[in-house]
Amino acid sequence: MSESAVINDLALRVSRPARAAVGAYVAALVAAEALAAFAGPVPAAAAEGALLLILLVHYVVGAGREARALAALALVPVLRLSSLGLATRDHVAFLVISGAPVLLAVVLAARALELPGVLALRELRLRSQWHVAVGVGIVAALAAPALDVVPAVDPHSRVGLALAALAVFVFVGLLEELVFRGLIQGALEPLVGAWSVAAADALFAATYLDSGSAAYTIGMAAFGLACGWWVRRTRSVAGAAVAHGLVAVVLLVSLGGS
Amino acid sequence: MSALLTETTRALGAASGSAATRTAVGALVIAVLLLMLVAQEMARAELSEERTRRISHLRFVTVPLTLVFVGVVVPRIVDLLR
Repeated sequence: MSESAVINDLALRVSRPARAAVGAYVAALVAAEALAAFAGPVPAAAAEGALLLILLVHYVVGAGREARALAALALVPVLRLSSLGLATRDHVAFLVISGAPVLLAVVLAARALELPGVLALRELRLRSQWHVAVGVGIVAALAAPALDVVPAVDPHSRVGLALAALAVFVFVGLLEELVFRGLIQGALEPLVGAWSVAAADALFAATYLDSGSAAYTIGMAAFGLACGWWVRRTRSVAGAAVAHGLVAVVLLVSLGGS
Repeated sequence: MSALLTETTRALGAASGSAATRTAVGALVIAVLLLMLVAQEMARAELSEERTRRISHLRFVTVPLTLVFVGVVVPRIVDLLR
């Protein structure tokens, strides 16, 4: 029996209430992200904070099977609370300042939840990983001029451009793939099988609801779905992380991004 | 735009962004951290070994939120000292 067939078999054995609870949390997190986009930062921070507390209490007192998934889902409120709490005027500084706590959360969570494979970015040397990363980067560079672009990062020098590109690569591409495809999708998979790709992508797309552009949100949702499928198929987040980093650099730094 | 950098965070970070809103958001983050720490300590004494192990795993949330707390509080203290 193949590895994915074993995982699907395991997922089928998990009780329906456990899967329903995880589905309800995913829906609630999507709604909280929508609050950030449509109701403002204070209701969003309150909703995300409440969900974080509920998720963690459920993680501590709940049954073993869904516990890891609940803990992984808590990364979404951590990400949003960090971004809302540490908002600053300079966008590059903001990405570093608000991204650092989330990156730390990812490293600690990967160890605590026994998902160390999430951090194995050295797998990029595999042809299946770097081929897709370079391919996606080239496609993004070709497609970027066709997008309705507004500069998100506006460096004034070559050093500034390099630093902005590095910050965007790490705290947009790498970080988002580690959170959504690495930890969340990885923790949901034993519970819901292939649906983990859709659930993680729903959360990923929800964090882009407040991008100010419906086309950009839809585009990132489609990109996230492709990354999720690729990560599930190859069992590695390395290629998707680098691909996402290259796309982010192309869209947000070199050409300006929506 | 990204998961971190959104229209809302852009507006919050702008010089013209409302100080009251920023303060409210910062206070909410601190309240969440305090509630977590209190609940963690209360639960530690009550629960079984497996649950206690899970409580120790909560560092992956408390440590990052502590960093956010520092990021919220330190600029305000610096402002007060000026």
